[in-house]
Amino acid sequence: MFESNVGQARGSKHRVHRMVEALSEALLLVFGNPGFIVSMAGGALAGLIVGILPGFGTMLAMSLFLPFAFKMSPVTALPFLAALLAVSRTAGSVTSVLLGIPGESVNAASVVDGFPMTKKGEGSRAVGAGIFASGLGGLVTVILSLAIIPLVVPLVMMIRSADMVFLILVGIAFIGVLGRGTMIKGVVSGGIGLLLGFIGFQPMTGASRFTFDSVYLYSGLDLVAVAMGIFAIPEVVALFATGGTIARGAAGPTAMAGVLEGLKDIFRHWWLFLRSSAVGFYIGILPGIGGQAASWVAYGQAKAMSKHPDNFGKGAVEGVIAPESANNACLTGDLLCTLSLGIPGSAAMVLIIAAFYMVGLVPGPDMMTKNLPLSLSLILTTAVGNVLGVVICFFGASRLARIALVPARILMPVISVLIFVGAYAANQRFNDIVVAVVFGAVGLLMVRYGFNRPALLLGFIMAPLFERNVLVALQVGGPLFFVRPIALVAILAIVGLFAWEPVKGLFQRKRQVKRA
Amino acid sequence: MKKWLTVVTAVSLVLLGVIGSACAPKASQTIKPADFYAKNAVALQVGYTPGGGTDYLARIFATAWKEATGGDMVVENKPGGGGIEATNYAFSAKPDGLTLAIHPVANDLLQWLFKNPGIQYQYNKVQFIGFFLDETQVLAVGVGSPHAKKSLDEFRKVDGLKLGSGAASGNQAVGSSLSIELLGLKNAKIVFGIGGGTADLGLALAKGEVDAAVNIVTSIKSQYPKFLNVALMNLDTKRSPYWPEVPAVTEVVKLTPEQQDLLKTYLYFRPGKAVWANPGVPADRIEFLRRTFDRIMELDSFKQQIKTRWPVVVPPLTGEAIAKDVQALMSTPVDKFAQTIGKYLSVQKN
Repeated sequence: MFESNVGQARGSKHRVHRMVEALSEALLLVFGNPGFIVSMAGGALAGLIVGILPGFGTMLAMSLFLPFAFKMSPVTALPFLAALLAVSRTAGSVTSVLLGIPGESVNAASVVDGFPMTKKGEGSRAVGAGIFASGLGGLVTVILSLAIIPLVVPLVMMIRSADMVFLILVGIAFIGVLGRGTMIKGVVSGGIGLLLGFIGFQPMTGASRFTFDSVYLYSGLDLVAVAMGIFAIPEVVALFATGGTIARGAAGPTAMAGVLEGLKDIFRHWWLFLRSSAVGFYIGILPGIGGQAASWVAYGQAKAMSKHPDNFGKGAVEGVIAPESANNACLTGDLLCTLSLGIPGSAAMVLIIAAFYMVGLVPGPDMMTKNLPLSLSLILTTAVGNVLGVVICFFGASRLARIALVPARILMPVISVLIFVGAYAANQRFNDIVVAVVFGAVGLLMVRYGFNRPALLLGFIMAPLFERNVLVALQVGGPLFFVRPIALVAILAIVGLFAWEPVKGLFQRKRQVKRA
Repeated sequence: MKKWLTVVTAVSLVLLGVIGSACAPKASQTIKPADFYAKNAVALQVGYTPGGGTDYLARIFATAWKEATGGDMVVENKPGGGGIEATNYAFSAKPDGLTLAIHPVANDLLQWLFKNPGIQYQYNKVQFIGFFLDETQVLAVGVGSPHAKKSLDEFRKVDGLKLGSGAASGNQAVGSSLSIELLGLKNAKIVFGIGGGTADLGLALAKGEVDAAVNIVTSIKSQYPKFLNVALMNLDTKRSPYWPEVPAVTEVVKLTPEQQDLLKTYLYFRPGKAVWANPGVPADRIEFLRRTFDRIMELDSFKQQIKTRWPVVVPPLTGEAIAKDVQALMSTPVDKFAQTIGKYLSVQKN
């Protein structure tokens, strides 16, 4: 019924021919047009600056660029934005691993293992793993996306609200159960994150929850402020308390050698890399979920399937590879979904859609039919952008890695300023700084008592989507809304996650008894 | 002698300064509005994140402002509270005419109707500059619905229809409630919480999770025919210029006098965007702003930029006209309307 309403190519042979034709035109557009290349390079540079500066998010940069888009043609405005998006995520990994501050919110998961690597003197290796995983993850999924364009819409249509409820819970359970600390503390952290995410208007009744009649809280707490507070402030305090430099102990390999070691790690863990990219890509296709969830879910599955899960959280390079390959892969999926459906799948895509209007294009179902070459060129631009991002960050990485050797008395004030400016920059509200400070205190307490910060953040991020889907699923399907194949499989996965540790412990004890 | 001279000179200068500043006329008396706005940047507050319809219109205005006045206009996004934060901010800004707001009239009025405690503005006191891109709402059926191919008469006979909507206190919800009332849909219910925007609603319609939806014409039309099969009626007494093929509700349904009153009250909640300044801004600056925005609407560059998103642009209303409408609504009793519409909404009464 869905397809019958959209213009269809007759026969698969015709479709393949049309795709090849459009791809050739797209390649010509990307590589044969100097304006396109210059614009892409400009976007890549802007993405580097935006990604490296924590809190100065991609959304802010894109909205600053929008007025200029009016005066530009599609072949200059759109590649600038696509490259900016791609490179900012790659560059964001640098700040995450070297300073423990997420450069972009999608890079928050890389802090968990990336920053401990820096403390161990492996900062350049962590940077190398991050930037190459990010760039290659985006590149590999561009190739994948070109192959699965016809499947995107059916994949999206397959997932209903009821399924989304349990898929989200699987993601939170992954992090809660498999993260640091005990399972109970992980689950509690995830639950608290969900509760914090419910602050604001209730989507169904319009009632305001936990807002204390403050207009600021009507739309809930700001993600950037919470993320900065939970992750970045405790690291600054720890730096202040311990003094010295971020990197402790041995200096580790030279910076360039370390970066290349990080690249080699990706080939050593090639299956993890491909798996995480696939996870990120699929999550990107599903509208509304976003890169933050993709990177955390990828992290969770990396730990779940690792032979050495206890190394995670202490500086395991897999803990950097997984989220970084997922976050750029997610962008490719997001872009593909937006172009296929003609509707934005995330906040960043809303701006891309706005840019379409500004340059005189009308986004919609025709993007993958009448405007297929331009749509494909945008997807290719993210691939080229990823490569550019890797190249730019690679040459800067060895110098940037030396940040880990800067004394705390110099670094700490700089980082503190970046945190507060970052918290303010997103919405220009002073209250966001207050929130960052409050959550800084929360983060310190969580570190002190062994609670799981990633689980809290993921719960917070997913809360609005979770609640919306629960409400819709209940209204549409009634109390038995979960009786659907995908939902039931997700429920089994959650039960399995909770049962895993106790069952594993039981088998281990039995084996010990037998040996004895 | 020298000492005395110095003291006298200093005291005289101070006195002259004090007298001078006391006598200085108010800014609007000495500086013409045209010069004032050429030299000072205007901040246009938008209560949503960048990229949406209101933000897009604001940015087009900002670009055209330079051409029209020689001065600068900056768009400031202040998302929060469904736009309340930006409205509160603009209402309490310094009344010098340099802070304006652009916001759908319906949203601000609905907050007043449902007595949202977060409101710190008095909507009947704002000084409207103009009202742009007025649209009505359309009821449309999704491709995923089993009733997608039905005519309006057949659709009205269906028991238990589900209409998708965003927040319970939003314009979509009110339009959905009105549709249920006017069409007499049996056991119909509104499924709230769909949307972060048109994207979620479009997907819910395509997946068949909801049967139909009410939304502004341009949003609904952008989803046709991928997510929507047919638009059944326009919630107005006349057809929309954006989609003239869709009949008005008065053409397809014979309304009772009570239903006509409901429709009349509903039409005051216009989804179009009003630009306004806060109370206290001098009259000459308000007049200048009104004339400038009218002039902007006539600029070729503006017309070209706006037509990609709004192919049909209805003539704007003047500031005075929209102010009259708002005053008229806020001075009439709307309890019956709120009660009738509210029974489909689970809005917390404050």
